Amino acid sequence: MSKIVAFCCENSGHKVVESLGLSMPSNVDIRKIPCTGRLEIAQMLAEIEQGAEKVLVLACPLDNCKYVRGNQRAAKRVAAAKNALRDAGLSEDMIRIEFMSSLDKHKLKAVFVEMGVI
Amino acid sequence: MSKVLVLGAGIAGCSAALELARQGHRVIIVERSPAIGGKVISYCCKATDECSRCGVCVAHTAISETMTHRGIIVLTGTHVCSVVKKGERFTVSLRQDRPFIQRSKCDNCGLCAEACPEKCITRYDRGGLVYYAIDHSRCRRADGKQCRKCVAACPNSAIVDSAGSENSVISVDAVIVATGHAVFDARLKPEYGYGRIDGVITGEELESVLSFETMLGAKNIAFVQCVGSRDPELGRNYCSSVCCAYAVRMARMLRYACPENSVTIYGIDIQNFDKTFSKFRNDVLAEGVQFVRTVPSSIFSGPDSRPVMRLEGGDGMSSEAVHDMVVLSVGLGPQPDANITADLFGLTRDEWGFFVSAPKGVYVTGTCAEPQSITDAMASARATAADAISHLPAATSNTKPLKRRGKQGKNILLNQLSLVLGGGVAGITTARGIADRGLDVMLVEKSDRIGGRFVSTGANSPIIDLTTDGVEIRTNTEVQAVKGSAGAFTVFLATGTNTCEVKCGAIVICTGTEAPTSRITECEGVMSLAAMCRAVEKNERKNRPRVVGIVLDQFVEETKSSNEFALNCAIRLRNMFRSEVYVFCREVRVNALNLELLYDRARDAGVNVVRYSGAIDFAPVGDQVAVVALEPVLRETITVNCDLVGVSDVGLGSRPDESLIDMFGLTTDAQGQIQDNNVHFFPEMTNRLGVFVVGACRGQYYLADVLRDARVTALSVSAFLGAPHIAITEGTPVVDANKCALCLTCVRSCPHGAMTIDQDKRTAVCMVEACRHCGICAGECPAGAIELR
Repeated sequence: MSKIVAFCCENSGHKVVESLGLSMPSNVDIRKIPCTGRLEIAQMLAEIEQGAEKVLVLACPLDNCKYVRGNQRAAKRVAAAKNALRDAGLSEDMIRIEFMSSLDKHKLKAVFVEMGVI
Repeated sequence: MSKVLVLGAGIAGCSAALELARQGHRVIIVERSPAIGGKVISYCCKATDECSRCGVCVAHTAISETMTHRGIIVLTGTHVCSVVKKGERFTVSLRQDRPFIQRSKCDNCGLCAEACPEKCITRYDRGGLVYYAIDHSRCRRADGKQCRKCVAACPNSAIVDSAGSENSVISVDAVIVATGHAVFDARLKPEYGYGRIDGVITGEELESVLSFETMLGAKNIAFVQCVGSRDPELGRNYCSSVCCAYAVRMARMLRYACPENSVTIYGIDIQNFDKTFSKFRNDVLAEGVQFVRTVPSSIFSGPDSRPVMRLEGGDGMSSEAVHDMVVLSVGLGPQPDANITADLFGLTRDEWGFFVSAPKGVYVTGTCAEPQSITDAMASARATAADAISHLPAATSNTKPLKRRGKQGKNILLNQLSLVLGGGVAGITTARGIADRGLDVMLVEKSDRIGGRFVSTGANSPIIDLTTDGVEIRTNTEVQAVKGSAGAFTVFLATGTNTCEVKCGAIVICTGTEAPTSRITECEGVMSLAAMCRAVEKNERKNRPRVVGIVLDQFVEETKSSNEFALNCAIRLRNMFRSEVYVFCREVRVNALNLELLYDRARDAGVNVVRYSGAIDFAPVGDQVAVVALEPVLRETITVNCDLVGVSDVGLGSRPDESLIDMFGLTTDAQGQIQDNNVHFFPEMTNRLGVFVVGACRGQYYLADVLRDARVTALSVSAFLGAPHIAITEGTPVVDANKCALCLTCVRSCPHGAMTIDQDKRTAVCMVEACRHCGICAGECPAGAIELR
């Protein structure tokens, strides 16, 4: 089973992860951050360097960031991190950003199925 | 310390309770169903990648906060038996169904649910809201049997099942009634075949389906609007105010989840529901959702058992449309047993059954008073709580210290003065509200008088209290610059050539919008609607106007407020001056409780409402103005020669003062109005702590809603300045001075204006009082100099 690191905004993604509870796949490492705007490109790349197969960023839907535009910043940085991966000859699909609110348990499950975690 | 009873644990009840508890009052919420959260907990998030501002997520946050707040007790499965008023207090006797779960002891382990032989204990877990609820209708105790398996299974003895203790009596200082609404039973409209025909469901059912699935089996989906709203035959001649919103949002969501879905919305008029509604609707249209202006006369089952709708087009031709699924956008109505609640608390009800007024000490809020969206219900519940607080005996927290404890133990003295910018209706109401709470207020107005641009439309317009007791007023004064952050702003004011400095703790922006004139067509007799009203009222013109045209929706799709104003003007012109009145609009917006009635009254008075599409033109004809518009049903250009033409003020595209936005570093929405179109900020917050916004400058024009927002803001300001200390939580940014290159990236990227440069130490610093701990500065800093500690 592949190891996945998920950076979760505490206002949305982390609440979804918490409500999944026991049905949360065990090979997903959760990193709780105050806002996805906090996430640095280097943090995502470092996780891949340290053996994570995929990095997932769970952000609030656009226009729903408690800190105005944190999720838009995250989207830009994910794009930049993808560029860095491509330059290094790796697959861009290793980093993925998903926008979901704190209620979207079913959406996160669908994402895990798509990523082959469940 | 005073005690308040809140009836109903829906979103309105929870919001009111939270606001009361934050002000130091003790609150008991009584809810008759076993679950907390009311209707909203079964609703879905309607975001695609982009939020559509339905407010369900913020409602979940508020409800879970209510459940964990120490000042709030939630009694579920509890019924009010009787209410007796004793002096200023109420003695309320309650009966609670047994067994019940004591939430203070429950740790959500789930052993009771496993033990229950009837499986009547269910877990609710979504969006940070977790609890277990016992369904008493299925519990063995309801039949009088003994079971007690759940009681035995609970390791924390959180389940109470002691016989004989069901009844209790409490004494409270005030009661807030927030019993909510009942959704219209679509079976009462038998021609739509709900319950008989496969594939016909209600909007409420679709909400709960979409809470657990992104996609539906159906490919071709239709929404039918106004089922049980705007329908005099059913005795429901009011607009439910929410159905267009949820239909358009869910339509967008279904299109997004599966682009090959075809989604059509059949409606009479699509109502507005958002600050930037016009843009949202155009986006939805561009994403491929179709809007058809008609509602089906009947729905029947087709040969392949798919629902078929019979439609009468505006051109008189009838047609049929087949869909896989038909969603009836059902409206809201009062609870069927609202009369019992009304009798208990002495409430009066309107013709439809919504609560209108309450005796002293009892307050009514939420959808039991009028149909409301989630965000509106939250705002009006907070406004009601504000009203209740001002009549309650002072809570203990009102004598709290005025000092805030900052980081490193230093005390930040909070300036207790609040500054209100703008002396319009919003500004005056907010300033008075703050003054009523015993705080100092200064009201700054640019012009030489207060009162703003509010125009009376005669006898029908509401009476607005424009008194300003206890408010220091400065007219002819403008803001030149602002410095500092939350709790300690320094504002530089200019009165004529005199300048002065004012130190204040909070700032409320109510500057409204700039007077719009630039877009008015250069044509004699065409003016803004407000100017026209004034001219007619003051008899400035020698002859009374024989034919009057009122033009709405010319440049932007307008709100209910301009529609209300236009209809009031039209009725007055018709009744007082016997003018012939034509109202030109694209859509009749009636999404407030009494607007549909006002529209009916206008039609009865003989006002002509002309719907147009495309552009509208004005041409001078003699001393009259010809209004030329394309009628979409006739597909013909019609021309009306008017003596006077009033163009709606809002439609002229007024915007708030941009220099003020820059000065405060505020964010704006897509239409340039202050405050992002973001549910976390509604209704009064801005991106900067200590800066609030009310009224037209945030895109709210409807008078009742502006007054409500003003009361909420007054409460927020007093809560903000009255907090005992700032909560310095973990995650405050700390800058490493050795690494900081003074590049200003953090200063620019901080959404809350909390980063500044310390010139002496040559480093960036965080002002803890303005920081909201998002960590964006740490993410942006190119030198990695910022750490969250």
